[in-house]
Amino acid sequence: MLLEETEPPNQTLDHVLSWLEDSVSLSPLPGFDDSYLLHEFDGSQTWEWDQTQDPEHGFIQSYSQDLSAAYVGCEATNLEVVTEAPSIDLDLPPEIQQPNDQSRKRSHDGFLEAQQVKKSARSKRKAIKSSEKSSKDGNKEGRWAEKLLNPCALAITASNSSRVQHYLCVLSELASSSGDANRRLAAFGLRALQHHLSSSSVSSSFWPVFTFASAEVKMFQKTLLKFYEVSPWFALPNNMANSAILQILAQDPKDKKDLHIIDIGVSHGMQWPTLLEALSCRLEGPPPRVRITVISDLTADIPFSVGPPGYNYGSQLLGFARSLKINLQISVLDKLQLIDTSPHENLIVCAQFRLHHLKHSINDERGETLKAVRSLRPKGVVLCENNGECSSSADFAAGFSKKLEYVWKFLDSTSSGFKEENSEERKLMEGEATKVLMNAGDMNEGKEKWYERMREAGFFVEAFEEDAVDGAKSLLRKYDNNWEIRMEDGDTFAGLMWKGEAVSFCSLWK
Amino acid sequence: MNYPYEDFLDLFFSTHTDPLATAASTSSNGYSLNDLDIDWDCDFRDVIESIMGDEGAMMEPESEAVPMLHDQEGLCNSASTGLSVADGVSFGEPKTDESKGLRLVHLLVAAADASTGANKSRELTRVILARLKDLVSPGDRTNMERLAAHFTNGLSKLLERDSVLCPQQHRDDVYDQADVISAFELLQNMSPYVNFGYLTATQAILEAVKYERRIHIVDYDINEGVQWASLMQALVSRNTGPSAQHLRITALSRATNGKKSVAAVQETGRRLTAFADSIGQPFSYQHCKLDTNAFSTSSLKLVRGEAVVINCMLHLPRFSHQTPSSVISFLSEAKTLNPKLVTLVHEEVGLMGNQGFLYRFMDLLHQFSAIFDSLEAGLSIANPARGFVERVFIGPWVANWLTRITANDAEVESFASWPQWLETNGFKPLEVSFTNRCQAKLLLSLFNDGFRVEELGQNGLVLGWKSRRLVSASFWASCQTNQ
Repeated sequence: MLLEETEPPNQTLDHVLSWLEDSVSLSPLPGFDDSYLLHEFDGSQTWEWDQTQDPEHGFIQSYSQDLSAAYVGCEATNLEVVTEAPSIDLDLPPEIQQPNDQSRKRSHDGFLEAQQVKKSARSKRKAIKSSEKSSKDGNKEGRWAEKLLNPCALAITASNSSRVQHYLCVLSELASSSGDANRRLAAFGLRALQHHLSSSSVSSSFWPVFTFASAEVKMFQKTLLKFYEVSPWFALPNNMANSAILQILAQDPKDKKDLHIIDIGVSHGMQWPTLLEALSCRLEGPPPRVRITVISDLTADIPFSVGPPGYNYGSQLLGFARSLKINLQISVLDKLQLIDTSPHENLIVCAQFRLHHLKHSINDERGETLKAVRSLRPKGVVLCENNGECSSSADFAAGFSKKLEYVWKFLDSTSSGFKEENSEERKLMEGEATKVLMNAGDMNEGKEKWYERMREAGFFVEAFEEDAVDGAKSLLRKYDNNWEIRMEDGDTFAGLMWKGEAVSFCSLWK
Repeated sequence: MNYPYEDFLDLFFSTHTDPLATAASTSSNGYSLNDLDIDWDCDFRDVIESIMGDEGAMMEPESEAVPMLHDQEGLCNSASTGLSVADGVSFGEPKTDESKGLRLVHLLVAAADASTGANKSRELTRVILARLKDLVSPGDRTNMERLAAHFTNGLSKLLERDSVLCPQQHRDDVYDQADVISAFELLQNMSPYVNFGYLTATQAILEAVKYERRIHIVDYDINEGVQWASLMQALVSRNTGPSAQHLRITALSRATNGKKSVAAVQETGRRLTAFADSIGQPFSYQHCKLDTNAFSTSSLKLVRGEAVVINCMLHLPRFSHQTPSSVISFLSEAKTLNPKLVTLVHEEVGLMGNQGFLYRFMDLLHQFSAIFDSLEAGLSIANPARGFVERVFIGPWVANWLTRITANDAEVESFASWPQWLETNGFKPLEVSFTNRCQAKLLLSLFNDGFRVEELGQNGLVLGWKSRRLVSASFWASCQTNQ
């Protein structure tokens, strides 16, 4: 029995959402209606909201103080994730731009003692393969935009300029920023190709493109809410990650340590209200203190990672935590570093859709970073990434083709998610997602490679427990039924699929 | 003068005047785009060459077909191609500096590319054709738009054809017979295209059978029989009384082309018989129905002492339904009749084997661009008569060509290589007479300067528009004929 069927969730939802500004429309968010969390309590109201308390009022914690503290902390950094400085930094306000320190010091722990990987005894839970009906070839036939974009990229690699002109001309005839997914892919792809062709960075104003960094704060918030409502793209990984955090904590229920989460993600705070709520609902109550350290690498142009300059969710989140009687601390660092990980806290690292930005071919920055994470001795690591093939070659056309596949899945799923024809929110999400087409680096990698890297870094994979899987499945029911979650390898792998094609995966490591 | 060609010219151009055609000729100067100086040809050629370069990689740069593609003066003449600048119908992309004509060519090539080959995609073809249909309609004001409309329709038919399980029947007889005849006459007035073939063939026939008592013409595709009225007049004018030569015509018709085409062949016979009666030409007409595409001399009625002439007109707009195997069967069998003359008129399309559909498509686009330019010289696009001719003839013509070039390489190539086939299959070339050459030039003098005639070896003449060859006529005899 699910709680949502017996309890009207509105009260909960309203409260969860109150940490966002009032101006934002408060439609019910399936992404936040984590019924599995409530399921733990079997419907009995063992907690109460303090409705009289204004969560946004009277709390001293200042986001800016945290930010400045973070900058101070930066100088003492001895471990950081170094990313190649991208040339695209025009969107960032100058005051938060930081020179990229190229020094790279990493501490290696060697291998830790072997940890017992808990194998789930549950064997009944098998991946639902219902939507395999749509064969891949069938999907591809309708995807005409790639049949122009890919040859154009090939012509670019072959330096066949008249042929390139031909494809650009045809694409510009068929592309539209407001049409179906194919037309939009053609539009975004065309823009990326023109960007690639123009040596100067001036000429990419073919269509006005929206990005998070250039969006208005209110619009940005509204868009995030809407996106979580209509698509599990991030809602599901966030949900799995929260479940995993709870799962880790539940393994040692007597433990009264603080919880420290390192957030290397793209959720802009959207992930945490449900976690805080769940923590406060535990029988043993929330941990004495919850710290969230947000790693916000502003210089890297990773899709979805950089919000608008004025965006500040810290104080709202703190207010919300206070309303739940949780002692929350938020700090923002612009680089991953060794923080004061005291022995009195459980450190959990949440890496979601950020690490793919790192190089992996020549210097294996991905692997190095994971080793750096390992050296923090976290109690658990949640890794969610895009699950796609990676073009191993440096060939532009091959890489572009893989990015197109990723963008196609995004555009196709937003087509069915956002019902409105010309939704501004959709435009913003898609503008941000299609940044990958403009970026030089790879953005995809197969799940196997990530797993291999994690093992090399000294981590052991952990199975998701039944509650986590149930919660995810329950969440997914609220979205388009082309979405599917596929549990594999003894529930150590949770794959999110769109129309039978892999989108992303979630995994839990110790 | 002894030469009969002046009469022919009168016959061709004076007897068919109707109000529409008269109106057409008087208004031909009313619409001029000469003041538009759009230079789109370079880009166009770039596109073509780049695509040809890829698709036709097998071909040596110096080989036969290339010069045709590089010297597209007719196609590239911006004034007569009548391109207008883009009219801003698109959704906001900066198009104003790019001519609409160029955009259309890009889209057409992309549609052709998407409809065949390794990257074949029905969905992409459909999307491109839908865009083209947004951009053009048969009522458009420029040549390129009109041409694009016909090609769009042709490609759409290919797409439909592929999607329907049972192939569509030929659509040759969609139009009313009267419409076809008047469109045909209009076309004759606009362009020497049709009459060039008829006139040179007829002249060659007159010369070949000058001393024969009885003439038997076996006509592969008699169409409306316009060619033979002029021949009869010429025969009558040079032989009167007891010396009159007897003319017999056997017209082939094929059951595979439907009942209407059989009926049309019979109707043509009635008209020719009536015409022969009216001018006193001894004449008989046979209709040879073929059940299949295969031709056999046993189905012909032969009379000893007759001079046999094989007439093979493959250039007409409505010639669409004859497969190469049908022509080969006809010519192979006809050789056994020991013909005094074989006339062959066919379109000069640069179709080579192993170049792929896209290459052929580009060439076809060139060909019809030249044809449209040449039509523009005869009758302005603004004239309703032009639209009528295009609807009845050009549209189906384009569509049929598109169907043809989707065939396999060997079949496609044979459409363009009849002279080679004749030469290697026991036919010998017959020299074109001085008279015939002069006559062709005289015919052209009635039309725009852009038309040219040149010799094609010893035994052929070719009609061109500027640098593009449109149609050629060549004359042959059986090797056994000793004369």
